[in-house]
Amino acid sequence: MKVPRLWIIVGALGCLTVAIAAFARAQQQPSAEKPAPAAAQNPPAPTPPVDSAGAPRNAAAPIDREAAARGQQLFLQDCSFCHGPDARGGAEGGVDLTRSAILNGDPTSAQLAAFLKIGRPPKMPAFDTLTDAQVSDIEAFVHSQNLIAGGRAPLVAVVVGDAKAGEEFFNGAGKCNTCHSVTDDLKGIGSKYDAITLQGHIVLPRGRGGWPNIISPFQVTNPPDVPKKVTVTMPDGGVTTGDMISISDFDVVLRDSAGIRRTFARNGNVPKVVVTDPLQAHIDLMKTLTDKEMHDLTAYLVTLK
Amino acid sequence: MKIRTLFATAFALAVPFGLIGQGPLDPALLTKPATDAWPTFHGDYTGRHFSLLKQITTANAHELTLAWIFRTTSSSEGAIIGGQAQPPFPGRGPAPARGGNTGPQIKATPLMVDGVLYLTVPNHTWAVDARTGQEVWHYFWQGRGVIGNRGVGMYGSWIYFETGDNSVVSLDATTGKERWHQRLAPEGASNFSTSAPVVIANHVILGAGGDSGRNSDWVEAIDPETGDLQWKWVVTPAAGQPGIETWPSPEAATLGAGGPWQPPTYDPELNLMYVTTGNPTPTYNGRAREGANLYTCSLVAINPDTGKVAWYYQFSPHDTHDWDGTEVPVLIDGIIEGKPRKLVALAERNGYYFVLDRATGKSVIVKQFAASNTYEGTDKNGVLIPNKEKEPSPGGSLVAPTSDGATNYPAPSFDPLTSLFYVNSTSTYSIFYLPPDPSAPSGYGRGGEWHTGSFVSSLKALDYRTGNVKWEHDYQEDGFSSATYPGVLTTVSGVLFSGDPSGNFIAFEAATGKILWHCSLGAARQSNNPITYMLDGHQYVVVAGGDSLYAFYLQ
Repeated sequence: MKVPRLWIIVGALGCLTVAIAAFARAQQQPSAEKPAPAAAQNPPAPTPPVDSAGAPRNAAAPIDREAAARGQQLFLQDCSFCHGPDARGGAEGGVDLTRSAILNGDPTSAQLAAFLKIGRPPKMPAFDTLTDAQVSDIEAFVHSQNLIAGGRAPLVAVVVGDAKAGEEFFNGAGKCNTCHSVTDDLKGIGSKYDAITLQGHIVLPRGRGGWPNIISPFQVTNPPDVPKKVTVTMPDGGVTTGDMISISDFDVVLRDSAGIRRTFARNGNVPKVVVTDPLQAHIDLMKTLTDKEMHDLTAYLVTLK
Repeated sequence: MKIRTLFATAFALAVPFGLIGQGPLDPALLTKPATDAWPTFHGDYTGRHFSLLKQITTANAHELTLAWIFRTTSSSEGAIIGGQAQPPFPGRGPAPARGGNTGPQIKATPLMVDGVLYLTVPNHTWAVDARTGQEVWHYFWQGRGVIGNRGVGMYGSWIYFETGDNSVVSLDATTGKERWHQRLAPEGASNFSTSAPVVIANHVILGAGGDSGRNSDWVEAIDPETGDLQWKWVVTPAAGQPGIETWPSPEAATLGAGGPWQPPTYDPELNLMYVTTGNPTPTYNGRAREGANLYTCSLVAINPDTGKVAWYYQFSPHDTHDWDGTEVPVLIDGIIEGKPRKLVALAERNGYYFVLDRATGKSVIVKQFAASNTYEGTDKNGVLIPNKEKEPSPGGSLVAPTSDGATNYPAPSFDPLTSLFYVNSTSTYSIFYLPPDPSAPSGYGRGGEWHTGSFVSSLKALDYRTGNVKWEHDYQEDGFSSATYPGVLTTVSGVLFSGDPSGNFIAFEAATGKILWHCSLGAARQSNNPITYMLDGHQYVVVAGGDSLYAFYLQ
């Protein structure tokens, strides 16, 4: 089982960031009467929200216990349904806040307050009626949970396969090289995506990530969407082709080569509609791919830096 | 079925209200297929979602037209307020309503009694005029939100519903005024309660769920008049109780969840109700709870008078993929190998169709109906054997189906005339992860899931006796998720109502799958179980799409 060196570096960075944040917090005691000072002159830049990989956080880092207790009440009321009662992600798919860039990179709760004013529409509503003191208390609670979570292993040991076997599968039974080339479209792919994203997109590049946690510690950049192709043939012989936007038994919507969105009503086989999927080979492979083949492919592609 | 004299009292309390004759619920309606009412979550106790109405037929379904729309987001001012949460809180006020995390989603199956519909979104209950779609009253509970609410239960003139913060509230159906409320789970518990109460004789059956924290889950019966607890059955066993040998420790069992978050079905002759249970916790982390983890992901037959378990059957032993066993247990009086049998049939989230003897719990059929790759056959009792290699793992395990399941809680339907069991399903895969050392796990166990994608969504018509596919309609688009799985309704006139993943509400010919009619509900897909009732000589079909309720009829 190999852990790529990159992960260790990222893990160490995350650890350092949290230590800085905890130290910064210790220097300030935000309260309702005396608003916290503005962000420190050189606030730690938001960094990948990563747990410390095997390196426990400083469990003695001071947390205002009373603030955390008040924050817990607010958290249970307003946040826990999505983010879980311990802030580590919950039923509605809310992210694990103990690994949040906003919370871990923010010594003053100013970023958090700004974030809560807007939320993350449409998934997360705004919580713009919370006072500064309440936001600060919530942050104290999440930080306390963060410390409790210290020392836990994040999802870093994803690369468990055999790169050489993956290369053989790529060029052999997997027939990946029918469409892909490691010196062309996949050149440098191992530097573009983290291993979880890469593995997910090996199975199907249309997949869109994790639940209930955003399990990749990076801000994931998804590859460009690969739309299905559709050809519509009218009874008079007129043909329209384009990228499919949507389809049902009753209509088909496409974007034609001029970029125009066009909708056709359907009535049985009129007009004639033919859909092809450029990713069909992935879908076919998904049904037979073994875990070993998937792990080996990932181990191979992460080496393509 | 015992009909208690208490109902006489309930009738006496009924007071006509305004221009609509809002009357009490006749309990006899609960034991026979209703035609001029939809008096309980499943329409009747069988869970068949099959109606005897026949005004809408395969010949005239194409003439269906919109009767009215009720929008929860334009609900009028002046809701009756209950609950104790102190502002500020995210609900913000009675209108517009808010539920789940993307605005109100009507996942509830409405009841319709005496010309009035009763429906919910989390923490909100409405009475709506079934003739016009106009609001009669609106009750709003101040408290934390929750993923969904399945609806209300009714006893005489009284309404019951569960709130996001684990209270149960009883309202007067005529006025919407609160009679009482009480806690279902203690303050601050990580439970969340979403089930629709079901009334059986003088028992209001409630379910307390929750699988995102550290808690036990249970079913309980309360007195309809006073709310007093009659009995309580906790899904996971305590030390010394049967089933504890399927957990590594009593503590693991106590915190093992198994939420019974769906309303049960009920056989009055056997006096058994059929309770379905959810997944164990920590959800993705099986290492923390070696064993079968009874009675999670199971069907459990319970005597509603005593709370005593008659039998159980587990669909997903030692589940590690969030495959709640909470799909509808459909009661079928059928014939297997020439012999009449009392059966219960379920299409489960794990991709298998099950038929059991509902008197004994003995397995009759186990048959795969959608993509599934995590079982190694069945044991001598007809119980699936999970493949340990497919549990979530550090490198990822490619698994069909996703945690959303091959199907989900929205109702399938059984039509005794076609002998077909109809279910919406999706074939789909996820990669399930679990860190190498998730110490002290809780909730989801720090695992994770990458949804790789689905490749077909279908309406399937299964022969109930075999699970074989008689016909299936592949929708053009795939990708139902748990929030938008459309429920199914069939009628004696051979019409099947359901929805596609593109947002269309569709009438099919039940015998063949031929499409008869459709209406687009817009971006909001069908989000609940359709119901049907007769009113003023019209057969109405009522269905929800997101924040709105739509009624169709033949004009």
